Amino acid sequence: MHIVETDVLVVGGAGAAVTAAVEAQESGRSVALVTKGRVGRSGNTIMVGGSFGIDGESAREYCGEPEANLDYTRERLFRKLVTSAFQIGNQGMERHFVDDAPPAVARLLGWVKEAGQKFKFMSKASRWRVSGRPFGNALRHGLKSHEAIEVYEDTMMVDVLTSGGAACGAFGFDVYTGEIVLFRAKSVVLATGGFQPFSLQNSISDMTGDGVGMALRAGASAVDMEFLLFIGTILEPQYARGSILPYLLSIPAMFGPRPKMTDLDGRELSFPTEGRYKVGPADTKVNKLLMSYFYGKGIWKNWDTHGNAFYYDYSAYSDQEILDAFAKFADSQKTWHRKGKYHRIDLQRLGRDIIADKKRLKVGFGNEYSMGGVLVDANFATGVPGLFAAGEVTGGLFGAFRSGDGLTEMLAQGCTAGKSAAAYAAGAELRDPEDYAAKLAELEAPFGRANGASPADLLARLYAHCDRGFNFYRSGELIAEAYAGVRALRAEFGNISLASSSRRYNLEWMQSVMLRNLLLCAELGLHAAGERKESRGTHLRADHPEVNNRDFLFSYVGSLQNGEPAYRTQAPAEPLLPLDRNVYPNVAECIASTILEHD
Amino acid sequence: MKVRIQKSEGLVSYELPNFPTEVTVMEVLDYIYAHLDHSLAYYRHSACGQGICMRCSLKLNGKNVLACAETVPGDADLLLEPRGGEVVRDLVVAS
Repeated sequence: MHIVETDVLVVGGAGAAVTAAVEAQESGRSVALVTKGRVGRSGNTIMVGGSFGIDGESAREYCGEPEANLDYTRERLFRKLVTSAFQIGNQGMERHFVDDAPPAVARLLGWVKEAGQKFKFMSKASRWRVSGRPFGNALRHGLKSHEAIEVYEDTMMVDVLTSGGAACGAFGFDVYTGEIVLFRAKSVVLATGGFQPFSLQNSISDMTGDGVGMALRAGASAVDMEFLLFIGTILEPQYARGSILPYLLSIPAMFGPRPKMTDLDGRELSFPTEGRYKVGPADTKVNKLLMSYFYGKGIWKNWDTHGNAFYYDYSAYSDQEILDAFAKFADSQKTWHRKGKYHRIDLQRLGRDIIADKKRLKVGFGNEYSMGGVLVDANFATGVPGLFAAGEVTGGLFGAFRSGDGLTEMLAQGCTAGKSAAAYAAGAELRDPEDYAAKLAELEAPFGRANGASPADLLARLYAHCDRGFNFYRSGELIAEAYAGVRALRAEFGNISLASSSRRYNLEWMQSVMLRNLLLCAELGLHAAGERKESRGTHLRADHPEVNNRDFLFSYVGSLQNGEPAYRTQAPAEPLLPLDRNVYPNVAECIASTILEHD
Repeated sequence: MKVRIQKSEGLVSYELPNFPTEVTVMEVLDYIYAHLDHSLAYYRHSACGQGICMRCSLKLNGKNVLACAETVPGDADLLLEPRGGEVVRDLVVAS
């Protein structure tokens, strides 16, 4: 066993973790950062194919962008956050976000420059266009330039450890050797990202809600777990499966040809992109939810037979027009991708394969981001003394829908959480964990069993339940089936066994850790989804389309009581903007009335 | 599809149904792990699957490739071996 002692332990490997670690170290504390993958190469961050921004005034003042759009004020950004959250976001956090983001973004841009990476600023939207690898390179550079931070990569954390109800470290294992690593720390920051319990993956492979699971077991709560964001993701051709290209291809400024969307039987799926539903330059990401809503209505009609699948149909265009459009798109991506490619995908080959398949691209909605997560206060404290959380692992900032700003979120929250954790550690002592032996025994138990189910099989069954009942369109009946299925899997988890007794790169063992967290996240999310008999943000219910601010203007909060989930509701606290109690007939109407700014 | 894998305990042969289209090597490994051999070790944690993180390299028929980015015909016969370096287990090499 390897033991590490530090003031502040940060768990995670992307933006929130790196900024938290840097902030804590600059506050004068010793810091260790531990991640299950590699810093800047794992987590949702590396999949980025879009942009991130702050208000125009701050972009000029903090980030040296003289052309930034001054009409995009701090107040507009704040209002956008409040309305996009469908009012259940924490307005205090949203206000802090507007204030905390500019210096955090400015620091990242400094790392970008030092590391020789390229981001492109779009002045009208006050956003930087970026790709995941340069973003990851900048983060790696930022971390490396703080040499005092101890970094442990490829180390899978299992649980936060506690003493007298306060966090006092965490433990896990080196995935290559299987050696147990015990971190003794005065405070812990969880920055591990979101959870994605679906078979169609468009992100890094292991977005398994580890931080949420660890926080819950340590005594913290989770909020808004029913809200998951989805975007168009390639299903076929297989070599391109999981790519978020369809989302980019739906942006007129990025790809010329406008596809007709159809279901698998060729019936058109309609989305009125003009008039009431037309989005402005600062609101383009609202389209993600509008697409789920409008296309989803048609896809839902054949859910039992076709499931989560539809076509981008380019049959209105000639072969040459399609190939030329992909060539032009490839050219626009050459700053970040190899010639002719978008990540691994050869774009001319994709164009030819679309032409060969009756000019259609087969797409599904893939889970991109989880709005819900660990419940935190304005200092990103979880309620468990010494335990903090930052980034996608948290809930509260984006409520029911995040329309952009995910990258900014992690930078801003990482800074604040790092400061808070450092301040806590300054007044704390290292303590011996009370629960280490019991938690280690749980981790090792599957090696001592035989004939139990494999974590790999349980994970596949979890995906199947969530694909059907927890996806971008939902109904009470299917949610209830999925909830019962996930509950049964969680019971079965107690009897899993492993095919190999080796601890060296044992995938089933790793999956057992992640599956436990993902099951818990899915169960909490499905419970809230079943209780929330309305639609709100990304929670689209076919059987309850209305956005009901009269009866459902609150969040569901889950925690563990004696190991079993317990639930309560929480109304928005002391809102800075008055709450709208209107009932809207559906999510699209609510978006048109409250989020979009019409000329 | 027939796939031979140089595991730590020796060369193991797997018979898979043919895939209808070209597939990535990662998809082949995922199939074997999910349906035929839960003990197989191949690079799969925090994997991007998009050719970005560059960590899933191995030898396909003697040539170094990224498992997630390399496509093969759906009925191919494959030999998969660990790339050069210290083998952790099966196809996983310390990085």
